[in-house]
Amino acid sequence: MLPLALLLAAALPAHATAQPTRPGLSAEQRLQRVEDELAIRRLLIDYAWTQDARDYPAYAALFAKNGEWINGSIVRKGPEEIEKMLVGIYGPPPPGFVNRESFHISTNIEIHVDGDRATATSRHLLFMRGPDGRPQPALAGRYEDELIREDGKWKFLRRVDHPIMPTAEEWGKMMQARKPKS
Amino acid sequence: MIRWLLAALLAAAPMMAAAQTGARSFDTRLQHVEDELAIRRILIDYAAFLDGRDYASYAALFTADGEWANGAGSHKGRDAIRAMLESTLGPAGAPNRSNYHIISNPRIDIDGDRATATSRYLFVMRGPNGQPVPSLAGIYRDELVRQNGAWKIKRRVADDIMPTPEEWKKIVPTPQGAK
Repeated sequence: MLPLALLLAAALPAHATAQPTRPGLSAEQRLQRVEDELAIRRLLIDYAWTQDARDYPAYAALFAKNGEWINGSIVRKGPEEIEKMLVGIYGPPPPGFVNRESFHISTNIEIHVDGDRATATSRHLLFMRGPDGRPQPALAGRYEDELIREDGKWKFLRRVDHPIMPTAEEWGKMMQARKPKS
Repeated sequence: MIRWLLAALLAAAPMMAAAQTGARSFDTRLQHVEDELAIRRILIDYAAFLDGRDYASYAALFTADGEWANGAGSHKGRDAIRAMLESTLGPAGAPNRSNYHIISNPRIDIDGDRATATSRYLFVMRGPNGQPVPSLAGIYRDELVRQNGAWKIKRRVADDIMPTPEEWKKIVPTPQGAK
């Protein structure tokens, strides 16, 4: 295997060095871009983890000081308002809470970095416990994000959640059906 | 859990301090990026070797004293890990068109030659008409170490989130491991 690799490397010297895709950037700038992309990926993933864990303070802290959370006509601005909304919907989680009812997977992440600003798109798929305990896909959508580097850390300046399926009406019916019968 | 939390805290502390002073060199920063990408690759290789029934490569992702654990027990050392796969999944190298794992949401924290990682797994099985059916979901919590220049899993804990073990027994009555 190794001799073959050496042979190829010797035969194709022009291919041994990749062409830089952004020749105008210094090594320092290129490294910074890679670091930024990884940091933003982490931010998007942290969003799903904190949401699933119902860790609302950590979730809200992912937003910039003026960060906006938008879903349809619902707009919340700033970490405090966002945290308040979530506690209002779900209530504070009990100590040691582990969510065994639902989780999100975040996929198809695309990031464009421009200095201290960036945009990102990604998909989310919410799974919920089905009747036999298996995870069932329940809600799918798309996020459109604007991000900002604030005090050296990437934050959501604007996250717009576009649910794709089911519709809001269908979702309402599903949630009604899941409610424990009293 | 407490051990893992402590490890995560310890991993985060020095990085935060360095970021504040901005003292990290170019090489250190590049190394950090390379480490994160290498560990991402391990998380994906794990599923590829598992689904491909390549037990030797799977076991080689662990340190010699590496441990795989879940709610049912723990298997320590490459031989024990390989024996677990053989007893639950059948012979190595057998073709597998009946299930596979989707790995998502990786969170990786690196501290020098040690790291922790958390990721999600979704186990998809062949349904009655051949269609893929999401059947088991959980969280992997990993401790990793760099050994001879390569990252290895020191300890992987698989936490099945749903279904419960009782529900799982009804879904898969015969032992047919999913990890």
